[in-house]
Amino acid sequence: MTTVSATRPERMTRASAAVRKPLLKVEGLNKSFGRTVACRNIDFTLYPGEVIGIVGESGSGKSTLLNCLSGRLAPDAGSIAYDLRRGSEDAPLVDILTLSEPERRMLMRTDWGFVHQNPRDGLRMAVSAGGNIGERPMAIGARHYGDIRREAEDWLARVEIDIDRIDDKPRVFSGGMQQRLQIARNLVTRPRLVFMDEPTGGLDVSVQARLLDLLRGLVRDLGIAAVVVTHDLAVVRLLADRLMVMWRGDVVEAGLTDQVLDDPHHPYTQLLVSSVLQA
Amino acid sequence: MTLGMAGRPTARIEVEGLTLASAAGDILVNDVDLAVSSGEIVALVGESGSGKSLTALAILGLLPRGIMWRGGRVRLNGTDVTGLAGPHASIRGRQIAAIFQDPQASLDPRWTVGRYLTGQFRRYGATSQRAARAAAVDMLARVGLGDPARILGAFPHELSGGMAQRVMIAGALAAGPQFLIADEPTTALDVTTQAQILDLLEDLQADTGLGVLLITHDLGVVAEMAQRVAVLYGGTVMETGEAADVLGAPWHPYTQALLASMPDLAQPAPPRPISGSPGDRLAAGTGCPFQPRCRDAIALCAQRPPSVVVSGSHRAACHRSEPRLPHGFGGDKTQPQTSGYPLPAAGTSSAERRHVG
Repeated sequence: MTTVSATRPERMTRASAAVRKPLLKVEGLNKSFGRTVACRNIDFTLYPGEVIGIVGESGSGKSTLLNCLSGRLAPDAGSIAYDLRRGSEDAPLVDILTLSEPERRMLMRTDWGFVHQNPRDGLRMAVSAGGNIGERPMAIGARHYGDIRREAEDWLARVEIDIDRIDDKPRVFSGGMQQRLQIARNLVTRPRLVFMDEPTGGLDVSVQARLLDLLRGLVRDLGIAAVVVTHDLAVVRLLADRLMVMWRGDVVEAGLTDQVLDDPHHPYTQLLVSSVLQA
Repeated sequence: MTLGMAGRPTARIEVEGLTLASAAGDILVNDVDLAVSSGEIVALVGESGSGKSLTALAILGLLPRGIMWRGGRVRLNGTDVTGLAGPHASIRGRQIAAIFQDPQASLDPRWTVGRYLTGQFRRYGATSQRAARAAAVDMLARVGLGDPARILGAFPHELSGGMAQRVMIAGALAAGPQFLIADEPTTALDVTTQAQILDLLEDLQADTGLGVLLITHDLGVVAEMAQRVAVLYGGTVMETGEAADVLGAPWHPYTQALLASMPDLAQPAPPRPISGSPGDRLAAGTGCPFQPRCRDAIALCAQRPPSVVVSGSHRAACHRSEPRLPHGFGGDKTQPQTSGYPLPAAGTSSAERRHVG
């Protein structure tokens, strides 16, 4: 045992505290629509900087789960505890369902991000690209025009959008550019947790590859934790450290992404993996 | 492909020099040649805006308003049926059927499946309502829907996506067509359902000797299904040939880049993106449409590329006379920044490209 305790702290240099404190802890989450059970007894823990993928077919409950986690939908039962770092670094996790509306809104604008499948749901199409990026800083008090614009320019560069396009409205952007702008808009406040709903759905393969590359880089560089919902196993293979497979409201298999995909145990996961067509 | 399967005569759709333009005069489909024989699955693959769906609609004579026919012929078994107009209108549905991407949108939400299917069979020859209903029950069983009686009474919203697509296939096959044009038939479906629908199409095709023109953006689907493939970009056929040749030894830089940009489930190495977006292309007819995004572009690419015979029926439209080292097939996928398609920020690619045109 002594050897273990001697090597452990070295391996965990990335974690700030000696004991890793979870960022998000979900326990016993249930959600039904009438008699249809969308999520049944979901438990999982997400650590800072970790990316978890949720895969499953349509109707498996993965999007409902994401909406519950991100505070957009109230679960029927269960708790979603998040590390708000209220007061001190080691303050206990707080159930987001107990937060007041202003507190929750603040959380969504600062510490959380949500990347929608359809950029139209996540962007203001009638506001310039720069304005889209500046909205979150402005919502939490930034007022200096020059600073906000500089920040917007910085983020456009990071998501590989030409700075000359800063005053263009997103509706004239291509699908891939809109999605990259949506990512910039979410990451500008340096959230610690980002929810993504099919972030590459609806994009052409050649464009999707670039977005995946970018997301991978940003998530790793900034140490962002993310919950990625997708039906595309190749996307989770690239982005996610861990994977949960949902089927009819249940998590039927969970584990390290490579482990689950290379050696699927549940019959549904096996079917899913074997259904993927490769060129 | 010489003898018809299941005792049917061999039929053939030939598209020659199909050229379509928008009302503003932009060429959307440029000089596309394509042929589908009964008993084979031919894939038309491309990204958005490549003209693959327009090509299908042109064959069906269903071009939306504002699309101008600039040239080209469609022949069915040697007869010119371009536009399926006038005396040829009855070919659509009877000899050439079609299914589309979103089955739920293709079905009338107010009609039960039974009303739709019996209507199809009445229209295509069933002499009585009773006979049409019996044929509908048979057909539902053939497309793999158990409990046909229940399905016949169901409305589209009560069906899952996979069931709705099976119903669409049943309706399309009601007239016993020789050809089926399937425009992204599985794009809206889950992977597991996609696999089932593709299996069904393959079985039906083998059973009935149907010729299938499969339109898709998914190279995985092409590899699984098609005997032959045409790769479209910017309305132009970039590469065509046997699917195994085109996907196994892609010759055109676009096909190579497209394959390299696909995430590979088998290896966690990142896919290599193609710079720019599918909207970046040279106006069709002036040069190679892929030139603005092509890593291998040379000055000559601003001119119309020749059709190079790679081997047998494998052809590519590219000025480069010898195949480049294929991207993504040399096992160097782990170093995307040095050997892959560099991102535009990487400088070198845009500098290289600027001397062109």
